[in-house]
Amino acid sequence: MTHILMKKSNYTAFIPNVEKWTFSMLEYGLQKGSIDASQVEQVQIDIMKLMSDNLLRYTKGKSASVKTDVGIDLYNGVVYTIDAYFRSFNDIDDAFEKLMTFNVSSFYHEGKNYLKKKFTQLELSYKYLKSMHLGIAIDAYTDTIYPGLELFFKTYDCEYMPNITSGMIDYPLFYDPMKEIGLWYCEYYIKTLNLENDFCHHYDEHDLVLVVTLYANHYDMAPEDLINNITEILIKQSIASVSLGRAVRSLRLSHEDMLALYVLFSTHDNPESVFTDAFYKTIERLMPSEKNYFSKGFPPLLTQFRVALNSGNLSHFFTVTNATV
Amino acid sequence: MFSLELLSQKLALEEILESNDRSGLYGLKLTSEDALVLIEARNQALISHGRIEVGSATIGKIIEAFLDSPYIQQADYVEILDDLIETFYYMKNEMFEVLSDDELIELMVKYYNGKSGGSIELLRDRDLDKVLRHIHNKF
Repeated sequence: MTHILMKKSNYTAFIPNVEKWTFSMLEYGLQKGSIDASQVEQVQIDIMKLMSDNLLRYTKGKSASVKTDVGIDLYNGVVYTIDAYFRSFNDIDDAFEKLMTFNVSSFYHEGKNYLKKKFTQLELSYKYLKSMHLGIAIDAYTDTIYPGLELFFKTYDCEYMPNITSGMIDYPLFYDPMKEIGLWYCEYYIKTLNLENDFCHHYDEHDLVLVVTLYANHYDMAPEDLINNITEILIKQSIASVSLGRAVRSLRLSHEDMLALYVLFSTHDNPESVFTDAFYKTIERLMPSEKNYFSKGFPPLLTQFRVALNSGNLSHFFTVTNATV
Repeated sequence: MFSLELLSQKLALEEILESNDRSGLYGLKLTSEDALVLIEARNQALISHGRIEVGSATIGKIIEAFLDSPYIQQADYVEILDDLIETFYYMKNEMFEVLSDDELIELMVKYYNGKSGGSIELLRDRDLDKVLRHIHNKF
């Protein structure tokens, strides 16, 4: 008889709150009865003591008080750092086991070390971003990658306010839930922008620039002034191509193609299913490993398509390039 | 669920009552009720001047600094500390953080025990105001 030892978890039902990771663990522990109210209060007192120490160091010992908004940021900075420590655990039982040592000072210092390590790793991701970004002159895109994110790396305050998202990020991602702040947001942003750039690199660069330029022209804008997501513009063109039975990388659409698309969608019983199929075919062919990411950004795209089709404005949704490939 | 203010008050109370060990030598003592009055005065001053502080480091420093003032007796101890606390936070904001806590308290002691002659009004509206105008002119 074979006995299989399996670790029994008391915390399988726990879902951390991204915005208050440690506090959500404490609340869960309270509900489960594994933590009592006095222990929770002591954790809060210890956090306040850490904040107090940081406040004095922040003012270089000159002042025990600061403006309210600075104080709140310092407090949130301590909590964010402790949250970082508990986020680093792969096993939730291990995280709870550590939490119940109630060694808040240790959590804070380990959290600080973890944030510093993640910051260094993020610098490498940023290096990749700078070397592999698209050769396209859209100010929001290039200004975010260069001065915008550069500012983040120069000004990020790992010591006192790691929760503050410094830098200037203007370029929108295909999907951005904006749930994270500070280092975690920048990590999400840079890694996702790298993913999107890798996706866009599947297309011919000349065609990419052409489509984006014509998209901008359609709205009487100079291409450099666009604040739209490039990936979304290209995905729309691929959906059009796939719907017309063409190659997914083909970005060119003529006026005749636009008419054919209008006939296809407006006469079909379920145009949204055609659209959806074409979307997922696009992703499957170009970047199947990131289907999960693109799926999250799909609902608003579908809504845009539905509105455009119902109002007879598919020419606002897809971009005519005038030449048929 | 967690009140920042409640826990800050608990820390502050402990720290203020510890100061009785030293102030007792000068015939000055604070009860728990007195300490709560001063904490509330500190809290109101922080709120009205848009500042935040953890613990009672400042109240403790003010108590220590004015222990041997010839103008403070047990009868008006709490009232004078209340006024000094309010004056401190008012000046802290108005002076654009130019002076450290210790420097500002030192200045307050110097004027209160000296030119102001134990008058809070003269301390704030004349002697410290002069310093304030000098700082504002510089900035």
